[in-house]
Amino acid sequence: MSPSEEHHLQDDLEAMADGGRALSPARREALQQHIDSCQACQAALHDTQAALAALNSEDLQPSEGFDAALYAKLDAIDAEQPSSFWANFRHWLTPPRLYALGAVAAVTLVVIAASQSGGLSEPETSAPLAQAELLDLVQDQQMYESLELLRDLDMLEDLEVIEALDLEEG
Amino acid sequence: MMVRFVKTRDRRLFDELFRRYRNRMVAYAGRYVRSRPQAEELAQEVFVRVYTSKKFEARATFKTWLYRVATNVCLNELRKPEHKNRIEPMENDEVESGLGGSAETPEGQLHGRETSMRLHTVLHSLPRNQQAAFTMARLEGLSHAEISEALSLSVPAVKSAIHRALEALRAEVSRLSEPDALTPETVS
Repeated sequence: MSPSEEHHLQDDLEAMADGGRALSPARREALQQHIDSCQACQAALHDTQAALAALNSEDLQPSEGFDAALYAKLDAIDAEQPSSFWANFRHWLTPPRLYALGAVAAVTLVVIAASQSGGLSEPETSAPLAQAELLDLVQDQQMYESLELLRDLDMLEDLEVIEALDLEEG
Repeated sequence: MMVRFVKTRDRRLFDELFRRYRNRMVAYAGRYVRSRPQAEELAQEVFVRVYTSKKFEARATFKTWLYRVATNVCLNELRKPEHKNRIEPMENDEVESGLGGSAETPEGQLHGRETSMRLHTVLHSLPRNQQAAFTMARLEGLSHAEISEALSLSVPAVKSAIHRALEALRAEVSRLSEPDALTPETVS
């Protein structure tokens, strides 16, 4: 028997120790025929079954006070951890709630921004805003005119310089 | 459910998990320490760890994660010096081992208990992975895939660990089957 065949046989013998339920019916029958004619496999199967039987004690069941003892420990753990507002808030702030809060904040910001730009303003509030814009325009116009005046003044000065030069040359 | 419990700390979710697995965990711990008070103590430690756990990855099943926690708790307990060479027989030990001696006679029962204690001693002397894989597979009925997840081993490694454990136990059974293997001095 090759090492590979022997390995498979060991696996199957272990399965046979459990009654062979994990094996196919054909494999189980073939293996049983082999075991019937092989003393080494008979001994191996017997020893495996004996080991499992000796180790397989009935399950222990929890005693009556088991649950109470555990919950007393859990209560003690909870009592050690002060339930602060922020601790509660952290527990409350699960990812879905965090996303919902973010969405509400985003919508609020959009509404504020839109109202400041006039996009969503009511008709009665648009007049004062228009006046303010007009005032800005007037102020801008005055500034432009001042600039033009300054430019003109510069030009006058230039002319005066040219005239003075002409007079000197003349 | 464990994922929701870690997020919400809702004790009702914990109660449900506890209700489902309390018996299983006491029985599992009992396979290592073989004493009801100690098994209950260890099972409680397992559930305290569940209760105080800060994270749980949803890709693992709760069952295999719980067995991983329980295995660590139990094997760490067995490392303590007071457990060295101290395998106690349990009242519910299977006494019909098939190794000579009928369970119907006092001598046969004593023989069966001694065999059980010897095999538990062998089992507890094995490497951690072999001990845990064998216990989960042969005594708890977990599948190879579940054990693979619980112990973070490949399925072939799990099969190999179980096979090696069984070989060691079979060798002990074979030795005990020899005449005079259990002398009156050893069966005390």
